[in-house]
This record gives sequence, structure tokens and C-alpha cells, in this order.
Amino acid sequence: MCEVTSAVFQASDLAGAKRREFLGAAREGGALLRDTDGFALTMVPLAQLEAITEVARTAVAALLALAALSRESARPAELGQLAWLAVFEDDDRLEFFEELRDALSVAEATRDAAPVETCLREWRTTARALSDPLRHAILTGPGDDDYAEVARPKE
Amino acid sequence: MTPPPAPTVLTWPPAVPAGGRRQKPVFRVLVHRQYLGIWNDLPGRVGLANAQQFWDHVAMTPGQPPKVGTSSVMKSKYAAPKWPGYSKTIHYEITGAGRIDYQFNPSTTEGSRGDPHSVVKILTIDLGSH
Repeated sequence: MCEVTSAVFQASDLAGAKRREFLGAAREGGALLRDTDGFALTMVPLAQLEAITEVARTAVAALLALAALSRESARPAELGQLAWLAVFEDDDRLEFFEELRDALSVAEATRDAAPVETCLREWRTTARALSDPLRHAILTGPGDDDYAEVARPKE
Repeated sequence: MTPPPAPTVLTWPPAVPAGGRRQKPVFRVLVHRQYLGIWNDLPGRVGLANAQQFWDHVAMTPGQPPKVGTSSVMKSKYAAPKWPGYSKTIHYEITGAGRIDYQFNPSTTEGSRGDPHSVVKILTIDLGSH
């Protein structure tokens, strides 16, 4: 079980002077509240909860995609949320999963999903570019000399 | 391959200083002929201000994060420079309006003149979904 809280409070603390202390601990990273029957509740910053959720959701999506890709001729639909990976070749997908693993590790350690979001956004942007036939041909082909100089746009 | 050195002029905004006179662009801007038609339609498609902001960005500081919009280095092996001395491919997103992919070289001797100059090559433009 992961540990997301450190400070422990009782239900009665919410009605007393410790209420501010409880809220302060929650804002600092997490506060554990024991109800009268011992049931445990946790209050954490929303951004932290969203980051943990995003890390878990992305990790599961990556595992499912990896399992699909380990079979021969996986269809894009089998890649789930990561269906856009179908546009890449094997070596590029390997690079993606290595980057994603690093991003997930940093996000889990810092409880900040930004590295995961950045990784996914940048790879999706490239996938979108490569999914268009003409853009794909130019972006993946050798450099040619078929260019013309242009001026600053004006009315 | 060794990445190209950073552009020599890194200031923003470059377009119109207090005196009202626009700074001379540092980079020549070239567009792939397959996309010249879309380029010429750009002000009408994304708005003149957005088109000029993009041009000012690549003409002055193509290696920097844009002041307006977003950019990222292309992923995958296909991001590699297409000509010696050029950068990796950069995806630039015009705010809510499309994407432009380019590479740049701060000091190339390409062309008939043979003197060192700075060039941005716009590889592709995507306005399809907007």
C-alpha cells in the first residue's frame, strides 16, 4: 500500500482547535483522519490526487499497449488510449516507452503529472504530423531543395 | 551529429521597437513548394496577427520557445536534421489554428551567394482540422 499521508487526526479534531492544523497538514501533502469507528479517510491537495490518478491511468494504458504490441500485427484499437502509437515503427515506440517510463517515475516521485503530460503531448503531436500522407512523406524523406523564400505576411 | 549553435539574436519582441522601425529578420524564411499555397492563405486561415507572430518567431528566434503558441521538438528518428548543420524538426502550434514544422540553421552557406547566412525551412503546414 502506498503512503500518501503522515499526520493523523481524530474525527473530533474537526470540531476543535486542531481543525486548522488538519487543514494545514492536508495542504502540505496529506492528512489522515480516523473516524470514530477507525475508518481511515485521507485529505490531500486536488492536484496531487489528479497526478496520482494520471500516473496510474497512463501506466495501465502503457502496460496494455505493450501487451498488445508483443503480439504480431496488433491493430490500433488494441492499443487503447495509445492507439496513435500505431503510426510509429518499433524502434520509435521503444524510445517512447523509455521516455514514458522516466516520466512516470519522476511524476510518481514528485506527485506532479507534468512530465507525463508533456511526454504524451509531444509524442501525440508527432504522431498527428506523421498520420497525414503528404506531411509524412516530407517529414520522413530526405531533405530536398524544393523551397521558396517568403516575406512577412501582410494584408 | 553536433547540434547547431544557438541563434545570435534572442530578443522578443523583435517586430517593432519603440521607434516604430521593425528590426531586420535574422533568418531567411523558406517554405516547401508543396505548401506555398497554404502559406499564402495563412493570414486568411489563422488571422494576420497569428501569421505575423509565427513569421517573427522563426525569422528571429526559431530555436527558442515561442512567446505566443507552443512548440516542441519532433519525436522519433525522423526528427533528425535533413541537411548538414540544421536543427531537428520543430513542431510549432499556432494558437488554436494549426501546426507548422520547420528546421533551421543559424549559419549555412547554401545558395548561389555562398556567404554564411541563417535559414529557416518550413517543411509542412497543417491547418486541416481548423
